[in-house]
Amino acid sequence: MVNGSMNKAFVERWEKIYGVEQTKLIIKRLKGSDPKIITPNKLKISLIELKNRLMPRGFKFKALPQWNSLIVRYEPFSIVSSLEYLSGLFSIQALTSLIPPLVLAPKSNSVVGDLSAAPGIKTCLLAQEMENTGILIAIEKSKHRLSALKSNITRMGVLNSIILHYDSTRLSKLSLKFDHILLDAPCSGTGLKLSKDKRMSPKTIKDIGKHTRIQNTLLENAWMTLKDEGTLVYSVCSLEPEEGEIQVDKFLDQHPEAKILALPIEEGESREGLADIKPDLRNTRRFFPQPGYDGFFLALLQKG
Amino acid sequence: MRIGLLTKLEIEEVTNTINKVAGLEIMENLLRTGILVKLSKQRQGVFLLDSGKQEIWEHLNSFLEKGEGEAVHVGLKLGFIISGKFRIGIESLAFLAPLISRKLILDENQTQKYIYGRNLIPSSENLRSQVIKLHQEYPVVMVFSQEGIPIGYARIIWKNRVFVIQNLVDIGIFLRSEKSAF
Repeated sequence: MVNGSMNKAFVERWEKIYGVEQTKLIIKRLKGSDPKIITPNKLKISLIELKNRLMPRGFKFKALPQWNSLIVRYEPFSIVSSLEYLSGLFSIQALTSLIPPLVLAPKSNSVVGDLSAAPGIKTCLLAQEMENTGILIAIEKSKHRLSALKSNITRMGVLNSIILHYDSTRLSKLSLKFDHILLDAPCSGTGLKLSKDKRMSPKTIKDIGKHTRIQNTLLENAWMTLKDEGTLVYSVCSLEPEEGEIQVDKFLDQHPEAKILALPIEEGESREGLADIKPDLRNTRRFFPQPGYDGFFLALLQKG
Repeated sequence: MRIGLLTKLEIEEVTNTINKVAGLEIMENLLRTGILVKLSKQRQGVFLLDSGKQEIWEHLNSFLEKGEGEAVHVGLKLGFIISGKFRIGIESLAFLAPLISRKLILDENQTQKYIYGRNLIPSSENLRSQVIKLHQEYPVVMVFSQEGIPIGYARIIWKNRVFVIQNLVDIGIFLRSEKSAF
């Protein structure tokens, strides 16, 4: 799944897991493109104010009120060169990026960890949920992705963040305790639209095993640093159950103190997490790719 | 990279520069609830941090001192210090904009040129009179669009018998050079 091509081994796998018809739909939608979706920066402007600023300049939108966002229908010039974008009045992202911070819903004045933070779209959304209060520790392992992270938090006016260049698989060494953690884990990325997938090497089935091990280490470390009653969102843009439902199922086996909370969202094409493995897993959610969304998996965990 | 406090001289340098750009003594107010810290590298980034969070960054520091990880940004970046001189940075723009009194306001055409990184020579009477007044006070100013959006910092210089609005930094940098600028 690189440069628009698709690995047959994955297709065969999905047919076994999701069925032939669902797989056909997945492939069709992975090959499709996403509309441009803009979301106002709640620290600076409301949806209506943003719309009122951009429409007189010739931009046309379709409202997505359930996501406090707008689909760009027509742009007289590239919207990223508008003063409104450059001054951080809105962000551009797929709905996939909006959902994890909304589900985590960190409280004002809390201590929050964003463990794979770059490029920072979700970090900025977390800061908005926190009303720029408390402390948001954004951790990124990859040095070359730090620039995008710093640029985004600067443009969007985030004031409560500390960015650490660090490997979150060693997070427990930090000895900090978090109220909320967003773990949008590195993954095989098989749910990403093909046009967006910039990876240089094609994905193979072997990648799944490699990623599940890293995800497990990240989850364990995140859990150790989460306060009692604290919440953690685990998400991956992967269609592979080993990185989603099975990963969470194994985690629950090892952590009886963990519970999966019902997700506070209804919109979007989603279904209860695969796996009839445990009743709790019904609270997880798998999104299949569709316009505006990549395919991804999401679970909201609480400690104690 | 650890988080360190600024020296007394550095605090004075930052305070004086920002107050002069602002045209008001705003730093004294900001330092009632915040502290200035720096991240040491060749260009020492200067950050304003909520002093209520001191406990957490001190905890982080003890961790960073063990060589575990690197802090690359804390709170609000105001700019950086090179050879003892403070240079105001684009990161401070939106935060300081509502607090300042000195403003250079550009029309739509000038704004477009400015956010593409260009220097400007004031052609209209309105801009010339703004520039003359601001230059007498202090050469570095915050630049705004007509709609009141802060778009960058400029240095007003007198060169070859004309005023030039020298572009120090502008918000177009978020598109032009994200990778090298941040």
